[in-house]
Amino acid sequence: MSPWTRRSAALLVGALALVVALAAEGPQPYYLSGKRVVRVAGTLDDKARVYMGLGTPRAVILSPLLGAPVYVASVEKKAFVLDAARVQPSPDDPDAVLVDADGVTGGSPLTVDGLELRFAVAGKPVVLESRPPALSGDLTAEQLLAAIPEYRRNAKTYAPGKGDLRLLATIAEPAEIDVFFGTWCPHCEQHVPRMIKVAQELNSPVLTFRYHGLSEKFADDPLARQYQIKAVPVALVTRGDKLLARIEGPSWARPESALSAVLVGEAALAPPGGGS
Amino acid sequence: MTEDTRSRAATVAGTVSAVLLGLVLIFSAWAKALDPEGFAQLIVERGLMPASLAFWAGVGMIAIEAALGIALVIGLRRPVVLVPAALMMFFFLGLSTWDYLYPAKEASSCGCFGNLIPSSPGQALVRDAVLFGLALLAFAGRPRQPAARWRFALAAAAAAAFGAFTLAAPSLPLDNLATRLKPGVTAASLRIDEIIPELQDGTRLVLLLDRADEATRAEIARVNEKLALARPDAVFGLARPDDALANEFQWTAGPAFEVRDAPQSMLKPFYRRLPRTFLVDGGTIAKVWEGIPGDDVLVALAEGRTP
Repeated sequence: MSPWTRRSAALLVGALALVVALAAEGPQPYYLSGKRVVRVAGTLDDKARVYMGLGTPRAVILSPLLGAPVYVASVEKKAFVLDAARVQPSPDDPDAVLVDADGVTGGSPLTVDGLELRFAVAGKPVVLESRPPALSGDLTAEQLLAAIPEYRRNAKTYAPGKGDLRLLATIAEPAEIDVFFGTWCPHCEQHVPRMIKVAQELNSPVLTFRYHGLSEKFADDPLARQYQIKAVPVALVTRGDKLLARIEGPSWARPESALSAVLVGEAALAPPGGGS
Repeated sequence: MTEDTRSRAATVAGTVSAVLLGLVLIFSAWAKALDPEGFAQLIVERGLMPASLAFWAGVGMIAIEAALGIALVIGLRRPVVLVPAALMMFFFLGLSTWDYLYPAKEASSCGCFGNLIPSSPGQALVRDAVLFGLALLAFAGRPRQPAARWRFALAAAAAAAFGAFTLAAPSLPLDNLATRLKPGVTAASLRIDEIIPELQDGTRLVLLLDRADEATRAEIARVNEKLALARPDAVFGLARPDDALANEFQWTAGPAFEVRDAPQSMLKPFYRRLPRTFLVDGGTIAKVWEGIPGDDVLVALAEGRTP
């Protein structure tokens, strides 16, 4: 073999190794979901924890009834049993695990039946069911954050505009913010944690934040009727008996901005993003 | 006021009313002709006709509406024109009154303009009442002389032309004309930002999808692949709510982007056929594509460039 041939072969092997290294994704973060339950052989597994990946739909189930972690992938349309070493706790997020699903083989076929995903693990039928948490009535922010991982994550990742927070911190006159929402409502999952984060960061002695969970069919709910709630989420901003504003629709993108516009005044409204 | 003056005033009021009503009918026929399938869907949703008949009934209705409109504008104010025009307005007034009395119904697009111009039940009721009033005025002030034959011929030709246009419209590139979703319109004015508040800033692609459509499902893998480098919130899907279908779409089509639910009454004025895709830049619709855009657009977005 000539030196030229050897060099070419070495280059080719190196390039292939690089391609393989780039193709392997390595451990990816998966986040705890509060919206899915697991049934193993017909029994609801209360202790099962379901983690969802980002991007194409995929999940990892950690269930005492199943033993080893199970990786469910939409692209492959299969469920795979993973070596336990492939799933590690995330060092910086208690609601996340790092999953290395590269190169998994085998797997059992996945079927989708309405809100359920069905597959088998070691001969046991497993059902992964979409079931949003049903919390209703008067709730505290702490209760919501404790019960729903998605609310924890969305609150954690939201950064309220500091300019608006500064404005809201200057308020001396008490006001109440009543948030009506549903734990079944995906828009609420995006937006209500933002208000929770605003309330947490403000920690205001004069602004009172209250959270009222409504059921999915809330048209006949006495509270919904009293406050003419037609869609959720909606926040009613009141001072004493006087309704100052309803925060609805796109205002939820920046609830602190909507609050400062109402409570501090349009003239003092910080620019979008809230400045710094 | 003498009898002669009263008669002249009635004739003038009748002429003006007839022309106004005629113009409204022509515009209304045009608005519906742009999207006959959407109009047929409205007919079915209202329970006026079964789906098998709705399309052809819609085409016929559009042709008649156009013929009546042209006839009124060119001064063919005979009972043969005025009576059906008044009956048509009375029918629309009845629908609007129903919507006003029973507003729980999701459909907000009522009256006679199809999906293009949505209005609240109250607005539609007032509009249709005014139009019915115009029809009555036009009838009261109708001329007594016989009409020239060419006017009948012109009205018939208009009906034929509108009928032909209605049949051809779905295959003509008229989507920006036929829908409320077009470049330059803001996401806020379409209220899409209530579903996707993220559209208020940045550059984002939104796909209007039918989760049940096999062709759309087949495209999802390509979208995933080409957008692999994009931010996770650079692309959103919008589809009508159906929890079971959403779950099934999620796990079988496997979109790498979030598909959010939007009420059908909100989505329908944005498309004639699904899928339809649009780019929002700083809260304003920058571009619209019929179907899902090609690789060049997706790659540009993935690389952070404005396609």
